[in-house]
Amino acid sequence: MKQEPGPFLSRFVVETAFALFTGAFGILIIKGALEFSVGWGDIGPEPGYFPFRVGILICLASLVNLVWAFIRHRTLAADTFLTAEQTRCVAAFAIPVVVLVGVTAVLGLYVATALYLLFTVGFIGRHRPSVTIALAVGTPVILFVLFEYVFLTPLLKGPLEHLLGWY
Amino acid sequence: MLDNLPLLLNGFSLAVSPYNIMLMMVGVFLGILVGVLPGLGAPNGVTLLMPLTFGMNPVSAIILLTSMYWGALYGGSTTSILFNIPGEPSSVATTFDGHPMAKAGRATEALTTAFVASGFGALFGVVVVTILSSWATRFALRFSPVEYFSVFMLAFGSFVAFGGGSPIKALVSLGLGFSWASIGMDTVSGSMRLTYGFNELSRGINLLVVVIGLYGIAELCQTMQASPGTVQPVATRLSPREVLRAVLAMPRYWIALLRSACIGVWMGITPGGPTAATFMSYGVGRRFSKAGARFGTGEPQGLVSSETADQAAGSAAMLPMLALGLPSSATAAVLLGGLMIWGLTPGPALFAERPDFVWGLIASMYVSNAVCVIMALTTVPLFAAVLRAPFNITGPLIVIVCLVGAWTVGSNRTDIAMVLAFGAVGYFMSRLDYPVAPLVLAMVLGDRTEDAFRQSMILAKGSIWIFWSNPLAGTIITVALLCFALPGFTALWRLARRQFLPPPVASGR
Repeated sequence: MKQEPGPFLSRFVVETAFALFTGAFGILIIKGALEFSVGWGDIGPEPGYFPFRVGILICLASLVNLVWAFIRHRTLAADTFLTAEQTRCVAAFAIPVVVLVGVTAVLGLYVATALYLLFTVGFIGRHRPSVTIALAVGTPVILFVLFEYVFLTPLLKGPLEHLLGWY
Repeated sequence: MLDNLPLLLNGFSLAVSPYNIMLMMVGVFLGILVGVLPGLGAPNGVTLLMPLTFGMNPVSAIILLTSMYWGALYGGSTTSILFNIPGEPSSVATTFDGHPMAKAGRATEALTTAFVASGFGALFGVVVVTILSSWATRFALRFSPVEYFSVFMLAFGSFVAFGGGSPIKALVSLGLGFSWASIGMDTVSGSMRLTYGFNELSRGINLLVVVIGLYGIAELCQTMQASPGTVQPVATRLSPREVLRAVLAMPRYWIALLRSACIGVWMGITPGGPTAATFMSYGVGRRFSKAGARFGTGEPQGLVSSETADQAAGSAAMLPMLALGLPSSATAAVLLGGLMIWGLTPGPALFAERPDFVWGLIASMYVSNAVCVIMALTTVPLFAAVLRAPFNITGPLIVIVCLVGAWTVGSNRTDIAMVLAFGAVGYFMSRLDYPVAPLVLAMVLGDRTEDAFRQSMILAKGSIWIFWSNPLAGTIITVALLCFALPGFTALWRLARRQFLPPPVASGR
C-alpha cells in the first residue's frame, strides 16, 4: 500500500474524456433520431423532431465543455481527480460489484449475494470469519423470507434454487 | 379556503388509521435510515421501496413513501450535525452551524433545534398546501398543453439558471434525461425510437433503475473514495432535560422560523427545490438577522434557517406536484413517477376524481411530521450506532439492497446491468460537478413535455407563437427563456467588465 497519495488521474483528462463521451452519446441520439423524419409533418413535429434536437443540444453543450476544459487546462491539469490510493479504494469497491452483477445473471441473486458478501466482508474488509459467515448466510436467508413470503416478489433464482425445487 | 376544511377532515379520517400510522412509522424509520446512511438518500430510498407498494392501495402507498421522504430529510440533519456529513444535498447548509454546535458540546440542543425547526417548516408548508390547493387546482384547470409546456420549460430553465454549478453541464444533464426518456415507444406515432434494434430497449429505460444507479451505486463509489472510515462522531447521548430546554428556547427564534418557512414555501412551490431553498434561507438569514455575524460558528438561528426552509420546501413541493404534475426535487420526481404507475394522473383532475387520495396525503403530512420529530429524537442513539458500523460491511449490504431494488422494478436481468452503467455515469457526473437532479426531472417530464409541445403545435398548426398567444403562457415561457439565457448574460457581463475595467491585479501570464 502506498503512503504517498500521488495524483493518478488529473481532472483535465477525466473532464475531456467525459465531454467526449457525452458528445459521442449525442451523436448516437442524432443517428437514432434520423431513422425517422425529424421535421414537421401534417400534424406537427414528427417522431424524430425532439430526439434530433436533444441530440444536437447534447453535442453542442459537450463541445462547449470540451473547449472550456482546454481553456482552463492549466488549473484542471493540476487538479487531481483520483489519487492512486483513491483509485485502489474505488476499484476494490467497484470491481466486486461488476462481478456480482455478472454472477447474479448466472447463479441468481441469493447465491451471488452470499458469494459477494463472503468476498467483500471477509477478504477485502478482513472481518472475523464468524462475522463474515453470519452476514453471507444471514443476508440471503433474510432476503429470501422477506421477498418470497412477505412481499411476494420473487427474486432472480439460479441453478441451486432450481435444484432445491424453488422457482 | 374554508371549503377545504371538510375535505381535509375527510382526509384525516382516511389517513389516521392504525394501519396507516404504522406505515408512517415504518416509512419514517426507513427514511431516517436512508438519510443517515451514506450512499442512500431520499430519492434512492423512495425508489427502492416503490416496487413493493405497487400492490398497495394508493393512499397507503403514498403515505409510506412520503413518510420515508420526510424521514430522510430528518436523517440527513442528524448526520450533518453529528458527523459533519450532509446525508442529503439539502442538508449541506445544516452542517455550517449544526456541526460547530455539536463540537462545542451542544449536540442535544443542535439536534432538538433542527428537528423542531424542521417540524415547524413542514407544518407551515402543509398549511400553505391546504389553503392553496383549491385555488391551485382552479388555476391549473385553465392549463392547456400550451401552458403545460411553458411550465415544464420554466422548471428546466430554473435548474439551468439557479442550479449553482455550470449551466452548460446542467444542459448536458437535461439532454441526457430527455434522450433516455424518449427511448422506446413514441406515444404519439407509436414508432419505436432510439432502440437501435435492441429488444431490451423497446420497453424504454425505467426511471427507478436510473435513480438507483445514479444515486445509489454512484454515491457509494464516492463514499468509498472520500474517507476510509475516519469519521469522528460527536457524543450522542440525549438528556430529556436538555431537549426540553431547547424546545422551550424555540419561540425566541420566531422571526427566523417565519422568514425561513416563507422562503422555503416559495422555493418549494416555484420549481426551485429544497436545496436551493436552504442556501437562500441561510444567505438571507446571515444578511438580515441580528445574529447574522455569528452564522457559521454554531449559531442556532443559522441551523433554524436551513432546516425550516428545507422541510417547508419539501412539503410545499407537494402542491405543484399534485396540481400540475410538476416536481421540484428529485424525490418529488420519483414520487410523481410512482403516481403514474399507480394509475393516477397528477393534475387538477386528480383533486376532482380522487379527493380521497389527495386529501389523505395532505392530512397524513400533518401527522407524519409529528411522528418524524418524535422518532428522529428518540432514534438518535440508534442511528449514531448504525453510522459507526464499519463501512466495508454497510457498503456491500447497500449494494445488495440496490440490486434487489433494481430487480423488483421489473424482474428483468438487463435492469441489474443497467444500474451498473448508470452508476458509472452518475459517479463521473457528480465528481465532475454535473448536476444529477435535472436529469431525473427531464426523465420524468420528458415524454409529457414532448407531448405538450406536439399538442400545442397541433392546436397552432405549427406556429411557435402560440406560446405567446395568452398572457399566462406568454409570461411563463418568457421567464423560462430568460432563465435559460441568464447564465449567458452573466458570462457576457463579466467578460465586458473584464474588457473595459482594468483588473485589480495584473494576471501573471
